[in-house]
Amino acid sequence: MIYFITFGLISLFMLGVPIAMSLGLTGLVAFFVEQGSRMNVPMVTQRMMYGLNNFLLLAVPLFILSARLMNTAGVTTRLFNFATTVVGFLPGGLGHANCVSSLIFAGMSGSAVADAASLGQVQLKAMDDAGYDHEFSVAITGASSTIGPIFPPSIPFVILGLVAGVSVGRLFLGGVIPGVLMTVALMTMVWVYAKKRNYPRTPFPTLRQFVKSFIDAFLPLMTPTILLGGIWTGWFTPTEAAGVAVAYALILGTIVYRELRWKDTVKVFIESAKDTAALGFIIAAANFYGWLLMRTGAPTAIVDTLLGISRDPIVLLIIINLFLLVVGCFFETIVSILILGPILMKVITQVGIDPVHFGLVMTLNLMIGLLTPPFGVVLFVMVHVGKISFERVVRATWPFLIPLVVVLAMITFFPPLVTWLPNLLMGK
Amino acid sequence: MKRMLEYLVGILLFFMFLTTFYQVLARAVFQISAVWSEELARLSFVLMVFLGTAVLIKEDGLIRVTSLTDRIGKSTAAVLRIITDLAIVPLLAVITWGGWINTRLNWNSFAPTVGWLRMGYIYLIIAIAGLAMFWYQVANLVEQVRKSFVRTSRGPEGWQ
Repeated sequence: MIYFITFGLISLFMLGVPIAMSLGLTGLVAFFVEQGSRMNVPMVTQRMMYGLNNFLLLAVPLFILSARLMNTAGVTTRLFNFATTVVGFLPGGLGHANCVSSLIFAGMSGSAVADAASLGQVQLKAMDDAGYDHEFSVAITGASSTIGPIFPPSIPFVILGLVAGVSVGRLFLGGVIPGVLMTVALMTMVWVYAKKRNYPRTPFPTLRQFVKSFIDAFLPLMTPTILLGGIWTGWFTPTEAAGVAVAYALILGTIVYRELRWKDTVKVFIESAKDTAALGFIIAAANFYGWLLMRTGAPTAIVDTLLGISRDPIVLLIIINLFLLVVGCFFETIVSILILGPILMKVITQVGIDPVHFGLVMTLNLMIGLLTPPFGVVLFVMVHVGKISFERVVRATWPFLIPLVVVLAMITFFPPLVTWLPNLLMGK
Repeated sequence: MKRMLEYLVGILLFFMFLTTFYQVLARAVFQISAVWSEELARLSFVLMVFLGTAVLIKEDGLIRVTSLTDRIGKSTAAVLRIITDLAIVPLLAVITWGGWINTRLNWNSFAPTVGWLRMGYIYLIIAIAGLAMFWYQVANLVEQVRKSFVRTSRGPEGWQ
């Protein structure tokens, strides 16, 4: 049964069955085999509903919505202009602007795929117009989008917090330093390319230009401050923070920038609801699947096996990292977190690893999986946005995995990079 | 019907935003803690996901892995698609059926903080969403079979 429930699921993924339906179908067959014709039918629907019926999860649609609203309100373009003014004078200017704008946008969005698809278009067009290699531009756009879910807010953190019982506020704060580190690491890589290929830079900004673009981007720049500040002071929960972000985006779009039209707003609501459903049904089906997986005893077996290999935190972290890098190549981030998150959390808490630390390691690791073939989702988005073949995207992107792996190693072996800020602000 | 469902999920999302935002306002500004807002927001989220999935099935918008199926021949892919689409039908039937049984089981239980709300209503909408998913799935399947086996004047472009 364990073999069926794991390999059956993978086979369905490969055959192109929608992810949510693969989870549901594998679960259903396993359930039917277990119970036969007396199968408890209402349990299937109930399990799926329970998976969704959680207030924390509401942060997911609200963060999707606020990011989409910001994008429609013209915030992405403003942010990119601001980033160009600030770091454009470095060699390979727009490449740096790409990384920095991704970091800033990460402060209002929590999904790499959304960042690559929305901000990515702005970034790619600017770099193409300035005469950068298309492949280089595609690669850095894809790679920098993975900062999105690491720097708060973050959809994976919300889901990890939910299934593994870790404080989402702490995970958010823990993501601040790693997010900045990723930006710096990617900018270093851009620097190397720029020196080798002699990429252009934009002129050093005058004080006036700087002030103008700063004022232009000031209000959107405040989003992460409001969110984190609100969560930190206890004014609102992560879900409520997401609601506040939506209200803020609506105010920016309608009153401040006046770029948000009524018709667009309706469309944004509908599109965000559909995005939510696509993700939500996976969560619902995974809850049913996970419940059956638990009944096979596989999770306990995995925990025992891992703890049997070693009880040394460093060794375990290395093993889990390698395992997740492989998993990330084949599984979608959210699916991995939903199924493996609770299991791995059990292992690491037993050997005294900080759950917030591990949450960051796991998520960053899976972000790298978004950029690796055969199933890297961001790669597919870049094929679509950049209009070049999958093979070319893969070839252009792989050098950018190096800086990300370096950051992963840094946060794995030096936990204070993650835990220092949440411990400082929220106490141990 | 699809447009109606689309507006419905959009409205549910808007409602969810309003209730969540109201909760912050109520506590921070008016100093009252609203308990019902959380429950209503949660339930609208659940309904939004189920109804939204029906729209996604209709549009073929569910997240799936296509790197392998893009590589095989078009006719093989079409046959594979029909088989896998067919395999999902029982799942959708079970969701609908389960939704209906739960509707009857929960008809007399009420949402803890929203007195007038029968949990049965929620399950009823889930059952209806399940039925819509089932319907769209079967309709897509029929369309797929027709495209694959009946030669139309469009010629080979008819393969999707």
